[in-house]
Amino acid sequence: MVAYIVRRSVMLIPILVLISLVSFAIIELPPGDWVTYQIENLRASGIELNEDEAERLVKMYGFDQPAWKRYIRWMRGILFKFNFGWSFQWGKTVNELLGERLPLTLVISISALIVSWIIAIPIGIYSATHQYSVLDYIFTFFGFLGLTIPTFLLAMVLAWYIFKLTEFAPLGLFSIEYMDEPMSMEKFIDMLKHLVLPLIIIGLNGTGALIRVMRGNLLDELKKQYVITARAKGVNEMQLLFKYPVRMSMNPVISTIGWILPGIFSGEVLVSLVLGLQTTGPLLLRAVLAQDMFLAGSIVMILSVLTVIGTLLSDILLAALDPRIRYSAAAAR
Amino acid sequence: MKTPFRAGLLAALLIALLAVAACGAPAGPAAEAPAEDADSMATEDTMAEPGGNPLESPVLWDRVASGELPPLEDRLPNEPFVVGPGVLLPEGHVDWQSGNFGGTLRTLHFRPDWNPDTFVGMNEPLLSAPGLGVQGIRGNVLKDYEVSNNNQTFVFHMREGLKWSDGSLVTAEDARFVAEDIYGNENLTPSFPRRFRTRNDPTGTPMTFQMIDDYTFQVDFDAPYGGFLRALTIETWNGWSELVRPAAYLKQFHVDYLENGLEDLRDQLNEMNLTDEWNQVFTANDCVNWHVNREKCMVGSSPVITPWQRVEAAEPGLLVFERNPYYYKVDVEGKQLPYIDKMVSKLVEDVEMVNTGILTGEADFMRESTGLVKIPLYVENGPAGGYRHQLLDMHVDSSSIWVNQTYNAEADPLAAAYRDVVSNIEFRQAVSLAVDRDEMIETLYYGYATKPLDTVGADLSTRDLDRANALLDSIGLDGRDDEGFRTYPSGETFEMLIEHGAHAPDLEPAAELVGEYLGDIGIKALVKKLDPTLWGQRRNNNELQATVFWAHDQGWDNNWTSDTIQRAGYAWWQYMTSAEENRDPTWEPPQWVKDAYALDIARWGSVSGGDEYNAFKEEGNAWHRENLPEITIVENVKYPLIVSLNMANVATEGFAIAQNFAMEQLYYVNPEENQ
Repeated sequence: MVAYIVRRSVMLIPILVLISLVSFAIIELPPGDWVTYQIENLRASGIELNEDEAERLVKMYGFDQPAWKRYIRWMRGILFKFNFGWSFQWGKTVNELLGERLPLTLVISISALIVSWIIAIPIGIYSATHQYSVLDYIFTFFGFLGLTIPTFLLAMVLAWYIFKLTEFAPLGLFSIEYMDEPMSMEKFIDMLKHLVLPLIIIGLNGTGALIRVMRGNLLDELKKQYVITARAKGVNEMQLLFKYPVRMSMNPVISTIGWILPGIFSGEVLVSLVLGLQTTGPLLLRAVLAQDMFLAGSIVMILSVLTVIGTLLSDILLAALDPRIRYSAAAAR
Repeated sequence: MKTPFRAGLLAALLIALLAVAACGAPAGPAAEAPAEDADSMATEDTMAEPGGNPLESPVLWDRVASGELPPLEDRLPNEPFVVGPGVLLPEGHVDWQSGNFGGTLRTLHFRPDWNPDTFVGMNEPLLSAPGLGVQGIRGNVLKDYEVSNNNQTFVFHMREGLKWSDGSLVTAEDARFVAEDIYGNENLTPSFPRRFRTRNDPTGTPMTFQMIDDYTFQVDFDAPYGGFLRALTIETWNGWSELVRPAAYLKQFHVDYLENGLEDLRDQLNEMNLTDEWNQVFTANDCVNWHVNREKCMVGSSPVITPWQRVEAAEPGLLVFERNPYYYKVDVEGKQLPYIDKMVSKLVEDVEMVNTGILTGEADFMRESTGLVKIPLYVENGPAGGYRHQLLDMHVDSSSIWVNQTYNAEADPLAAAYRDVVSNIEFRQAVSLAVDRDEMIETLYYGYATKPLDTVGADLSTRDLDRANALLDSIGLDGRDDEGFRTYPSGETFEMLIEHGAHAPDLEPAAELVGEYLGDIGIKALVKKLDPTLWGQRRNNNELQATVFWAHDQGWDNNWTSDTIQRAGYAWWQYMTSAEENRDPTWEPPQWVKDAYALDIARWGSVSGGDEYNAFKEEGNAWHRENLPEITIVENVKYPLIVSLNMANVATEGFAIAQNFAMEQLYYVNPEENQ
């Protein structure tokens, strides 16, 4: 097992180098750079910059240097100083920016994930064990709704209705009167009020799919012969259900951890955009649009690294959970 | 060991680990909190024990009492700028009253660290004129000026005792530093700014700068430059930093002033992942006027000269500005401006979310992102949200059609043929004649606009399809394809792609309508909406065939005739604004284009607002009507300014952006309602 983990970890290194190269290249692909974006912004606001001023900015920010030089400088900072570079758009370091936004992002994503699991797994189990019952149909109906309604649309519609009905605008994390206040009990309660809607929307987003997966897998398992045998031998029904078929049907859920990890980091981009939440998702979107290359590159790279690590983690978890996988790995060795 | 609970345990551990990481992260921003605490405590104390100078805002009383700030008379310059009726805005544009201190102005922005409303509201040019005009230019940051030697010598007097927001003096050394150590340093300024060259001409001779004493300096040019004073007002939104920056602060980042040179900047170079590019460190700390929304202009970083200054905020994405206790303007009663203590702007995702914020009552003031088309919504939700809209003039013309006469997308084999067609003045006249301006004014602008009499003229702005068709027939576009669209002489269908970035709510419907009108005269026009950034890139690459955008045209007194050239032909504009050696001879423009530049240089030579100046301006309009560098759709458009119902000293006439510029005189009738 240890050797397996070490081997997988060593294989990560070339993958990560490749990822960093590709993410940098992608950011360099579109024509223009941050300076052209900035000039465009100023122009749109009615500030005209002369060509010579534009040239000055290009030199100032080092965009006249070749891409490979900028890449090496960026990588050197990350590897030796854990410094992800400078964000032109925000005028501060990428580390500082991520530090500001990660806590909120993690709180929202992890809570939403827990909400989603708490709702979906029991419902999935119930639906599978009570197939074609009335409740199963109702859950299936709502599961499909959850699966098909785009979250950003739901967020927009719900936010507007809540505002119309209660005069409370569930946008952002705080009401305007608390926004620039230091944290207090009232501010905390205000934050909780604002968090309800995003948690429900982001949480329900994954729930529909998870219910279907859980239900389908468990149905497969329940029909298998070992279940019938166990039941024939008089094993307690609840014990039987949770000890074997539920465990087996959790496998696909565990394997998605590879995607969940970067998902937690990036936040729900669209929902965050619509509800005005300052998470890392909108930060990435803005960085890409504005060609704020070190910021965009760093986020893309962190996301990729997390995907790779997440995949590794889910493999290890699977092996721990499912003896068949563990034994086949041992046999192969 | 073989239970599912082991998996659950592992998952729980993983989540706990992430949660711990989450709690560990926010150490940075939290450390700044005490400054905010001190402020809110100060307010409470004041309420418990009132007392202090009635001429300054009560939020400053405690800081003065504790000795943190000197008394008001020591913070103001010997001769402050006095604001009263007719000073910031012309007489009749606002019913001016001396206001109350207090309150918070809330607004919204959608680009990181960039809010045009707070920018213009805080910007202080070196000189100013009422209502952003060109008449009556007077001192602002600088006290006054003397002009001599046939408009070649300018002596500027500074305000003695004027202070930066950190309390240090503003002196002529701050001007010398900019002129010599910034503009005179190749690393910081590769080419000398045009504004400080004779007649604002990129090929003109740079100024000579001379510091006379601590509060006086002189600027000389080698030929008359009557417009120089205008170049130091709000023209192109410039500010104090054009010639006055906090030298004492900036010398910490300028190698010429550092004991160990570059090595003194090593920490900052490391932080920014640089090796020896000290100019980038300098720029990262150099707070020029259009950076006032940024962190580098924050209290504790660079000092500023603006009415408010950015402070730390509790939330990322929030811009918070508090009053500058050293601000140099007072009202006629002697009260130190601004009246409003604080401005808070919230970051939202895009212009539509700004409008959602307006509707839910989150904005006490908003100009830049509003739209005439949204007025019904503002009216419906205004009473509940506590705001109203005030119609004012737009300083740009709302929409105009740009036909790029230098269009040159590499992949397009018909690019040259396209240029041949559209560079005929008859083509542009036909386009103008096809547009049904009456319909557009009625449906898009609710009647709050006029036909473009200055820039197109009555004749060409009245719809006449027969005349338009005849004009197109006369330039070889008389062939028609199977669908009835006009063809090039070579037989291929003439197509015109109108790409727009929907920068304002009226541009998309305007572009669609223009596409239809062109169809009426047999031109196959395709209309396409692009992301604004992509639109900008295509324009910069000379790949836009045509577009609909707003125009800073002649209606705006401060404008440039040659500004229209970038809309007439982007490559011509690049040619004309580049240094001689960088010009691509393929794109040498025709004489009428060069005339526009000559007109501007002549206009810059004349004294702004004078008879000669006005004659050049009128000549510029005539040039526009004759050559149609862009086809203006409407002029004199109105603009809804969103203001709180509680806000006073709000203009009822003039440019909306001029009200923006006079934000220091806005006040709340009941400040406690807008805390």
